Amino acid sequence: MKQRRWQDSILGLIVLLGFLAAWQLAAVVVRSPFLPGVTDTVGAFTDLALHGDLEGYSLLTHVAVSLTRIAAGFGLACLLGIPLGLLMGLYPSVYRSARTIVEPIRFIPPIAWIPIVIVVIAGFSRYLFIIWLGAFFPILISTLAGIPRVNPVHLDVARVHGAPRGYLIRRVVIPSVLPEIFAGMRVGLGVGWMCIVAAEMLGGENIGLGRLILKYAELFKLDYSVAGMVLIGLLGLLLNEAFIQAEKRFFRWRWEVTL
Amino acid sequence: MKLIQVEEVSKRFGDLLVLDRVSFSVGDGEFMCICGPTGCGKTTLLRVMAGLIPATMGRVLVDGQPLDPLRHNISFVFQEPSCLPWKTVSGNVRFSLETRSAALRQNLSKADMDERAGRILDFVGLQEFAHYYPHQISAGMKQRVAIARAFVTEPDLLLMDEPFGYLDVQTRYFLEKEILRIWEKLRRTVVFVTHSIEEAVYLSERTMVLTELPARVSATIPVNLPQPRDYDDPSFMDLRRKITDLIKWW
Repeated sequence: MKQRRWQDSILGLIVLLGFLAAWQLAAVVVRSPFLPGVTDTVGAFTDLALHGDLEGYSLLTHVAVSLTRIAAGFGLACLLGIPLGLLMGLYPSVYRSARTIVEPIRFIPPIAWIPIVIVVIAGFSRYLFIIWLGAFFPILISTLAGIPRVNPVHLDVARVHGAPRGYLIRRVVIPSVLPEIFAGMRVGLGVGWMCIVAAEMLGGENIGLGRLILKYAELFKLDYSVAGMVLIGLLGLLLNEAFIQAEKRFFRWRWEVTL
Repeated sequence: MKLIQVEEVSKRFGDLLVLDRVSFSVGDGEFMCICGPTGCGKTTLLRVMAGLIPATMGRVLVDGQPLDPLRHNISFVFQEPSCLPWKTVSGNVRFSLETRSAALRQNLSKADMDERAGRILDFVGLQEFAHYYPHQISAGMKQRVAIARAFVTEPDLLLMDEPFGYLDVQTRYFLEKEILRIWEKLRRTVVFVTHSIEEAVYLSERTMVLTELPARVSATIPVNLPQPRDYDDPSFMDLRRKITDLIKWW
């Protein structure tokens, strides 16, 4: 088992190095400012990290601002998605009557909302709305879909002792669907993170990782844009990893950990 | 402790009549088994007795009063694995105390619950596994947890629905001995459903045989054999044959 993991990491490293080498080779062969190589990207990244961007905002500021926006949008999505999911799961009539609104809206991509958002709302709420939109539905749907999977025997265990409905919900239903809620939150966080560029494209301020990419793309300094892209990818990966670790700790009782 | 009376209980699911005017009573502290052909409504009868589903007609009385999960203290051991997977062994045992105290709006102290759960776990020999999660222990141990969880509330009536049905023969034999030991010590009224005639004769003081669907009471047979019982004893085999003849539906 342990040896297997070692082999996997070595293999992963080899594939990564191979990819970087191919990328660099392609950049050297093409020799175009529109195809920055690995060294250009690393150079751009170092410059950003040391000196900040062309307007003087440090890389850390960009990261912190983007993370704040994500936290706000994702937090709001949890705050609304989990209770609404529970409500719709516990009272199927609520879901049945809301379905005609919820289901079509769910399939409108966040990007499709951008034009109307630009017109209708301003300021921080723009970021909030777009990220919320991305994160909300996975959380709502996972919570909702988890409830019918509560084992009826577990409910009976409590009902035999005369447990009232509220107790059943708090002590049996919620613990049972918690893994599903967490899985939905992890997916929601991922989707919300992917909406960051879209959200920052229309936000007015010049800070944020999405904005950073655009700023340099307009100047055709694509090595800086790629550095920003890589950073977005790595941070997203890190957030996801952190979430999986939290899940593993939290749901030690589950022998199958969702991935 | 209490006298349990089942009076003319019928249960109908749509067009299907499952229980047809079933009447019997269980004495205080008695160990009764209910036997019957598969799919004859044994589980349904037990669920009605637990108040988990309402009877279509008839009623269940505890000391002359209609059964109420709040007023009466009932425990149930389910056929299928029923441990809450997110709780440890001791958490599962404490769960029925917590539920009971929440339902009755009493405030059992945490120390009190820990003490009672610890005592029963000790008694069923699971003390060392108190902090394990259900997935870390064997099926037989999980069923012992379910039994401990049922006994810990000191129920007026303990209903067991083929609790050893899913287990292998050795574990089953071991747990049959265990349940007798626990019952002799704690003396609760037990109604134990099984499809195994041998198990009924081995465990019970009295065995009730149900007919095939719709279930009616076919016979009630006293099992006056001294404990511990022996499967090879001629009187054991006689009784087993007698019940087998009653249960035959082929």
